[in-house]
Amino acid sequence: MRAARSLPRRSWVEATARLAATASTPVSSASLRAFRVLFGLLLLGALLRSWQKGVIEQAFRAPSYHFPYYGLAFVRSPGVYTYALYALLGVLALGLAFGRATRVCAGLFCLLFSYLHFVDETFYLNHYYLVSLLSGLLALLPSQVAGAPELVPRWVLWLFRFQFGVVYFFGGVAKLKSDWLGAAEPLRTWLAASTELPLLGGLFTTAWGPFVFSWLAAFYDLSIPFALCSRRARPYAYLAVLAFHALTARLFNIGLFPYLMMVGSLLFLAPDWPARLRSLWHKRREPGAHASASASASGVHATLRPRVYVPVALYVLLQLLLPLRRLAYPGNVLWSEQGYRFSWHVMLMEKSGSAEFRVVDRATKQSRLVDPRSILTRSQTKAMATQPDMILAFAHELAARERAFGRDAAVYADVFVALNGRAPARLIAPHVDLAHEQDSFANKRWILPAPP
Amino acid sequence: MITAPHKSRLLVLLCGLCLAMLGGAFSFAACEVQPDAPNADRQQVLRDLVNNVIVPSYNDVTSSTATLVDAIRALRAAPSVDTLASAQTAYRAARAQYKTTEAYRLGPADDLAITGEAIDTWPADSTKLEALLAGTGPLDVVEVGKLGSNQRGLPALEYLLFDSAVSDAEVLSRFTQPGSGARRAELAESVASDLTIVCKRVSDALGGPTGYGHQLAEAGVGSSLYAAQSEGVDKVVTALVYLSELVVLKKLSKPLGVDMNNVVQPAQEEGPRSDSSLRDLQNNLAGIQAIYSGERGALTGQGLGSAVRTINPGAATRFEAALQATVAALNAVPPPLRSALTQNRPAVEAAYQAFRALKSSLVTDVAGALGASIGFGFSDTD
Repeated sequence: MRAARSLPRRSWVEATARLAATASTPVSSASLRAFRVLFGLLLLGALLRSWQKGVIEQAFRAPSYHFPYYGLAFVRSPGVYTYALYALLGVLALGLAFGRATRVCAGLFCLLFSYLHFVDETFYLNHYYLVSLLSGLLALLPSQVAGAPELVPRWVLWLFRFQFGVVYFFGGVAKLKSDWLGAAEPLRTWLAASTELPLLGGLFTTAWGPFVFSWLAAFYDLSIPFALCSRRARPYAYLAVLAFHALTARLFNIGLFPYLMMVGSLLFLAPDWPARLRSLWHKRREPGAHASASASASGVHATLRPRVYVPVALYVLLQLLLPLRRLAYPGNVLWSEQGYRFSWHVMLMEKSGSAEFRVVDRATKQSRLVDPRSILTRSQTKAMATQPDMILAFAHELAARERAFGRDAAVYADVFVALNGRAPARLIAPHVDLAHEQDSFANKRWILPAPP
Repeated sequence: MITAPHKSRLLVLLCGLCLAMLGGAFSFAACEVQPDAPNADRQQVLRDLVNNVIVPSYNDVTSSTATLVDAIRALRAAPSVDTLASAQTAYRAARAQYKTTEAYRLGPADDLAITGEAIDTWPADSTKLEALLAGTGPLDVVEVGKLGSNQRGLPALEYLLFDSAVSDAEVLSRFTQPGSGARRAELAESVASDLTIVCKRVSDALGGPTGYGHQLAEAGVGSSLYAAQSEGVDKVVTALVYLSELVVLKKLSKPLGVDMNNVVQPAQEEGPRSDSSLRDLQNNLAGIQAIYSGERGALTGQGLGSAVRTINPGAATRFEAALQATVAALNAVPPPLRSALTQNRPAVEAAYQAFRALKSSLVTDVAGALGASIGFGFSDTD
C-alpha cells in the first residue's frame, strides 16, 4: 500500500524535475531578439501613427475630465507634456529595435506607456494592455544565459508563448456565447459595413456568411496556440495567423493588434528560426544555426531557482485568473462589463449608448438635465454611455462639481444601450442616486439585467 | 492499436469535426429562418447621398446666397417696403437651404480653413456690428472678409435685415437714414457677397472629380481619404449625431433654460430677430430625413435607412417612428419660438423631449445597426 501511494507522488516529483530541467535548458535567443526588434519597430510605427492622428490632442489635452481606473484616481494627464513623453517613448522603442540597453528601454517603455494608458479608461484597449505586459516581460526576464549571450533559458521563451497563447485562448473562450455563435453578432453587423472587400465582400450580407466567419474565428482563437505548439502543424498554423490577422487588419480599425499578433506568433517557431532563415537565404548552414544544440554541447546551463519560478508561477496564475474573474459576477459580461477589462474580450460587441444625467439639489429639490457632451469629448461620451463604472465615475464628477458650488446633489442616470443588434434597453436603474454609490470590485446592483 | 499521441490527435480531430458540424448546423438553421437580406449596397448609399443630397444642396446654398446678394443690391439701390421684403424673403430662402445642410456638415463644410466658420456663427456680435456701422472705415467685401466670424454670414445679415422687436417699417427706416442708411446697405451687400464667396468655396471643394464628394462616395474603392467604406458611413452618421446633439444641447435646451433652472432664455434662440428658430429646426430635420431616406426633392436614391433596415429592421422602425414623432412635435409648436417659450412651454418641451429621443435612437439604433462604433472616433478599438 505504501509503495502504491508513493508511486504517483514520486512520478509527480520526477515530472516536475524533468520540467524544471527542460525549462532551464538554454536555447537560442535569436527568435526573442527578432521579436524584440520587430516589437520595437511596431511600437515606433504605432506611436508615429497616433501622433499623426491627433491622439495626443484628443485623448490627453482636449478632455477637461479624465475617467480614472479604479484605485488609480491619482494618475493625471501629462497635458502638453504628452508630446515629450511620446517622443521619449519613440526613442525607447528605437532602443528596443536596435538592441541598445534593451532591458532599460523596455522597463521605461512599460512604465511610461502604462502611465499614459492609465490616464483615462476611455482609451482602454486590450492590445495596449498586451504592450505593457510584453514590454514588462522584456524588461524583467533574462535576455541571456550567463556567459552565453546568444542563449536564453527555455522558460523565458515559454513565458512569452504562454502570454500570446492566453490572449488567443481566452479570446476564444469569450466567443463561446450565444451572441457570437447563435446570432453571429457583432460580426453580422460589422461585416455588412465592409461589402466592398474583393472576393469576400459578397459573403458578408448573406445569411450564412457571418455565421461561418464567427465560428471560424472562435475555432481559430481556441485552437491556434495549440496548433502553433505542434511541430507538424506549425507552418500551416502560422499561415493561418497571417491570413486571419491580415483580414482583420483590413476589416477593422484595430491598429497595432493584428501586427502584434503576427509578430508574437513567430515566437512559437523554432527558437533559432532567424538563423535558419538566414542560412536558407545564403543557401548554406551557418555556425549559429543550431544554437540550442551547441548550447547543450557547450555545457552552459541555467538553474531554475525559487526566486525565479515563484514570481513566474504567480504571473502565470494571475494571467489565468484575471480573465476568469468575470465568472464572479452575475449576468452577461458584455452588458455589465464587470470583469470585462484585462480579460481578452477582443472584438465581441457592437454596443451603442445614449446617456443623460439628472442632477437634483437635495436642499431645494431643483433638478436639471446634464448632457455629458457639455463636459466630455465625443469619444469619452461614447465610451462612457455603455460602461457602468464610467457612468458611476461621471456621476461622481457631476456631484463634485455641484459641491464646488456649495450644493449637495443627487445624480441619476438615464442610459439606454443597444447591444449586438438588440433593441435599446435601460442599463442603469434610473431611481438610484449614483452620487451615493461607491465603486468597488463588488457586484454593482444598480446595473439592470441585460435584455434577452 | 491506437497509441497515446494518436489518441490525442484523434480527439482534436473529433472536436474540430464536432465544432464544424455545429457551425454548419447553425448556418443552415440561420438560412432556414433568415433568407439573404436584400443587399443594401452601402457604396450605392454613399454615392446616392453625395450625388442626390449633399453636393446638390450645397450648390443650392450657393445659388440662394447669390440671389440674396441681388436682392440686397436692389434694396441698397432703392430702399422700399418691397425691396426690403424681397431681401428678407431671399434671406429666409438661403437660410433654409443652409440649415438643411447642417445634417451633413462634412469635409469642406466642416473645414475651418475653407469656411473660416463665417457662414453661421451665431449669435452675431451686435456691438461690433454697430461699431462698424458707426465708423468710417471701408465696408467692401474684402474688409468684411477680414472680420471675425460672428460679424459675418447669416447671423450678421439677420441682424441687419430683421428686428422682431420693431416693425419692418422701422427696419426700413434704418436703411433710409441719411449717411448711416447707405452704410448699413453697403455692409449688408458686402456680408452677403462674402457669404456667397465662402459657400461657393465649400461647394467647389465638394464637387468635381477629385472633390470631397467623390472621396466620400468612393470610400473604400479608390478614395484617397477613406480607406474603407465603413469610414465614409461613419462620417455621415457622426454628422447626424453631431446635429442632434447641437439641437438638444444648444438650440432647444438653451432657450428653454434647461440648465438655468428652467427659466426661459429667448435671447439664446438661434434666429430671434428673423423668428427663424422653429423653421431652422424643421430644416435640420429635413436634412436628417434626406440623409436617412436618400431623397431630396425629385431626386431619389438609397439613404442610410435602407442600410439600417437591411441589417436591423427593428432599429429602422424605431428610428423612423422617432423621426416622425419629432416632426409632429415640432410642428405642434406655434411660431414664433420666443412667444411659444412663455405661452406654450409644454409644446416646446415636448419638441425638446422628441429631439432627445431622436438623438438616442440615432446613437443606439442607427449607429448600432451600421456598426458605426468601430470607427466612431479617432482612436482604435479591439
